Amino acid sequence: MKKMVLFAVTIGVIFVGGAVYFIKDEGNIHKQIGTAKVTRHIHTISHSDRPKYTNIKDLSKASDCIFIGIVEGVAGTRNLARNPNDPAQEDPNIYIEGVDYDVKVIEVLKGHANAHVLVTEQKQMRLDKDGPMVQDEHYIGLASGQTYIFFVKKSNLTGRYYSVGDPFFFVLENNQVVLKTKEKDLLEIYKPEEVKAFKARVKAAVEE
Amino acid sequence: MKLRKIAVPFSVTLAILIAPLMVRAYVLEPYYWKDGVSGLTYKWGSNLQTSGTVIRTAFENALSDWNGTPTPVWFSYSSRSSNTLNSYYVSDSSEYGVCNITYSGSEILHFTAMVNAGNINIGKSNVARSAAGHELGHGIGLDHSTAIAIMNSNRDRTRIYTPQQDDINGVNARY
Repeated sequence: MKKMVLFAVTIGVIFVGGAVYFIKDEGNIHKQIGTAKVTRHIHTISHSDRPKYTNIKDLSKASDCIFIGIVEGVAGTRNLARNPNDPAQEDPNIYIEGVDYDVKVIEVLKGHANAHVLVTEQKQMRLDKDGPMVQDEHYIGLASGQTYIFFVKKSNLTGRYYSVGDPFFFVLENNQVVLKTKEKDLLEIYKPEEVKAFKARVKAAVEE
Repeated sequence: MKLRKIAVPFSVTLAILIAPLMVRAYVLEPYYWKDGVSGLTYKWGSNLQTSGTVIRTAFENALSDWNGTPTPVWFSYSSRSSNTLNSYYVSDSSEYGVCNITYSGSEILHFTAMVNAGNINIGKSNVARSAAGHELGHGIGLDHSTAIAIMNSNRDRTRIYTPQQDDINGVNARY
């Protein structure tokens, strides 16, 4: 009799314990479902259509001006997007940020440039009022104190110089001309080259 | 033995002839339209509300160009679309156009494609249409190409202003 009671109590404990465990476990599942966070990462990327030059000859011909200069610092930033009906005004809905750099011109290889000029690089954009700010896919930035060779056009509207396309600028370091770009195929074409030899190729292309 | 003498040079010649035809240059973005591209919609942005402008006409032509390709691509107008076609005016830039694509994981959610009315070459024959077609190509998930393609940044925009075979191959490979 005593054995039977002990057996019944044991079975009862196992049954009740199991039931409590399953009830609690289900509760946890519900709790997990109820508090689960569905995270959705949203990104915006920018692609642009800019001229691309795969040789020095085409690059030099397309440039209004080619010069060697030292970047002295950032002169400021501004909205490049203008009102089409009145370019003196900003576009009220579109923001395309340009960074103006002060550049001291050392040598002009094509065209005309004053001793100090402003060179503009496009940095980031917001294409509608409520949209995100997105970095320009070509943006690299210019370093203060660094010497570059610039391939540029001159704005009739602002007198500033801007990128002819890609390539835009090369760094001069250790007597080498080194392309700075995010376009991998152009890095394969424009390998680092001795400054004198590079300048000679540019001058030959300009004079052709 | 005799057969081998003929077969080897024949195979090599055939491979040399066929190889260029098999080369693909189109580049697909890692994101795309999960429901396909046969029901894409667009609306006009703030600067393209009026018909008859150079850029709006360029987009209309480019939309027809893409809709006419042997691909599933089909664009239609909807005022409630989340995709926007617009123009902008930046004279201090050699940029012809831009397309911002918003995506989650590998799924495109929406895009904004714009053509630069301030580019000094935009008024030349077919240039704006070429730029518009290029930006729409980004909108459906194509990246830049090195082939004869509207997605090639190094193209002559007065001559290549409609989707080319490489662009079509890219779209059909994806969708």
